[in-house]
Amino acid sequence: MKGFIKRAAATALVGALATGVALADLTAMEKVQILEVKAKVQEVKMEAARLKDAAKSQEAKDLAQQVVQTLDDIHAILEDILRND
Amino acid sequence: MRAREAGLLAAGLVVGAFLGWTSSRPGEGDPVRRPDRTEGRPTPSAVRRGAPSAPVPPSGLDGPEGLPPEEPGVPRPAGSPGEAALRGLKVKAGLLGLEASLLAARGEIAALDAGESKAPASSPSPGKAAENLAEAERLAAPLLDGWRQAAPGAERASAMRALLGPVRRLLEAGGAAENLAVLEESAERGASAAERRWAVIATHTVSRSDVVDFLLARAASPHPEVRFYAVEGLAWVRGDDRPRAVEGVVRGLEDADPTVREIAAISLGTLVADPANAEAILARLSREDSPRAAQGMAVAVLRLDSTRGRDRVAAAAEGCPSEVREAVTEALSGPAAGKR
Repeated sequence: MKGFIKRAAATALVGALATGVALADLTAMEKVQILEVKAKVQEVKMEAARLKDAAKSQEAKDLAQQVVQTLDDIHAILEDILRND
Repeated sequence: MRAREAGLLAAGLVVGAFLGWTSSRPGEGDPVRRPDRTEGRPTPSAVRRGAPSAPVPPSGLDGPEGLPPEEPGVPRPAGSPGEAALRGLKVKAGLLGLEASLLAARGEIAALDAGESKAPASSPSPGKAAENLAEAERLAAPLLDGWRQAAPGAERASAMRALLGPVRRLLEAGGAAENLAVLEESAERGASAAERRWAVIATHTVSRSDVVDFLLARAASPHPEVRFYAVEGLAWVRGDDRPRAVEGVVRGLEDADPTVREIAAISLGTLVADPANAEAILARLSREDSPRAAQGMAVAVLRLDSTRGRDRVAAAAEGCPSEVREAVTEALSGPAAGKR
């Protein structure tokens, strides 16, 4: 779990850098990449949602719900930067 | 301990997302509008002639509630190739970092799953589904009230942004169709582009017949940002409604707005990913007058047809205006050209 947290922190920083340039017009290829990542976000979100439904302990349910909410937020941000007008 | 770590993780990601969100908004952190790569970009021949750069829009980044202005495709000056390359690298690095985190998250979920439950169920039991719906309704209720009480403009845009996740969850859990009426109200009659776009984004990845009806209706909205997100939203639909949703995406290729035509093509090339749609994209490309849309179409076809896509795109663009052909040439020499 700790590795995940470290990586998540690094990602947050790099992600901030990336979205900091979001108002620039993205190329078609960059938009393709964003859609691909969004598709992966969606896949992981579905897995977390399934875990939430199947988990027995409250701890695991809470974790899964946090992951779902975070990925939902990331999904919305990726949606928003897709259209730069 | 695990819950605490999970909390930290979620907080870290949200803070990062928040930082990205705020830095993508106009303000102290981003005083300069960055360059467009296609629309308004001086063509190589224009540069050779010494033509002046396209004018900078006087309003800069200011739009409703400090969000970007509503008119897409406003010509903006080009940056240096080095600046564009650096920006591209930052975008790529951010996305790769996010992918790495997703991979790690998937591993963590699998580990938890193994410890918690071996249940391979792909959908919740009826009891669990009812519980999920009740929880989603409980979470969305105060936010729906907040949206109803919010003043038109910035306040209601903010209320719709807060409602986005909960209302999506409600729709996913099988919530009532009246929630779509709320989204329709914001999408069609919202005072700002921000409110209108959030209202459509709230339905993305939800595969329900009434959501597809909603998106097909929004794809004919008078607001370009609503059509943009409706067309992309249709490309996310799975299940029995997928064929008619994909038809809606294909129709998006004929939209009056080039940004909508572009996202329609990119969505067909990436999310729908059916090579059968390459012909429709090529047919539209042959009549295209927007470099932006043409690049999206070229990239989409290259992804759908890795063997003959390049030749098909070049042939389709032959009769297009010179700036469109130049944009297509750029797409053909970019990373998409060598990648399946």
